[in-house]
Amino acid sequence: MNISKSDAAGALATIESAGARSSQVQRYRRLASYLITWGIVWLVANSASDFAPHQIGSIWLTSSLLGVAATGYVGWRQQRLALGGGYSNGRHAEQSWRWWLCFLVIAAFIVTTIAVVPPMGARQQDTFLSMFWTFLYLAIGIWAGWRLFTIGLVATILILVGFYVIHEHYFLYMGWVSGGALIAGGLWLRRL
Amino acid sequence: MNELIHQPTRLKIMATLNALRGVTKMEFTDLRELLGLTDGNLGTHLTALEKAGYVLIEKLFVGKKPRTRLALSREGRRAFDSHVQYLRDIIDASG
Repeated sequence: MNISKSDAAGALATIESAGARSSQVQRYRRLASYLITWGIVWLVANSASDFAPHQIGSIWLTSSLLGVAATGYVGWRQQRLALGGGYSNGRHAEQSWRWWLCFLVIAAFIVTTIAVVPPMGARQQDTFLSMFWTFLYLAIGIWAGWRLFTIGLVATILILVGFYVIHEHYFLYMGWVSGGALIAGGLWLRRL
Repeated sequence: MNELIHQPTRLKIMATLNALRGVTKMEFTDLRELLGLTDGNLGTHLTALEKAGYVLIEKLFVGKKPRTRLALSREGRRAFDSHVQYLRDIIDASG
């Protein structure tokens, strides 16, 4: 059976579109686990900050370290799944190393910004850090897909509403609304 | 020309599974949702592809729930790549 040029072009377009959709679903599912992890960190740390405002520093330090450890575990688990339980090859090891370095660069940026920008109140710091991540989701969403972009946009709006409108129990609002938005977003990304 | 792969639904199945990363497998239910097929329709096409040695079908139980996971075999990837090349050659040849 011979096929025409237009049939061949149609088949290639079908292949392109099915492959792109499949890759996007996989990308979304990988990102979903990270979003849910950090949504939980946000929820717990902000809620705890509302109840113990004098211990915000230690609450966030502990929560962030737990978040980093959970992120490492999620990444390790995903890599194991992708490798079918086998051992990592050189390329994966190099990628993993670069991802951790990116994470350190971002952490260093946040720490130095907080050191340089003061005076910053706890509310401002919380809003700044939250918005930093949601803007990152917006930027990544431009490449990864519209769902992540939407999650970043909704979370950013909710954070700004919290900062300008909510005065009492601001941290509780941030925990449940902003953290909740990340968790809900993660669950949404998991859906096909 | 690989007529088995070229059939439109099987072409989509092969393209979807070919885009899986590393040795990641896809759930039968996910593939069914992605392609908008019925259980029976997808099952028939998968059986044809499995018989040709292109698709690996793994059936397992998670708790008491049966799950079916799918991936392309090495032969399946090779056949798919050859078919894509064949399609590109047709376009290149006709200018």
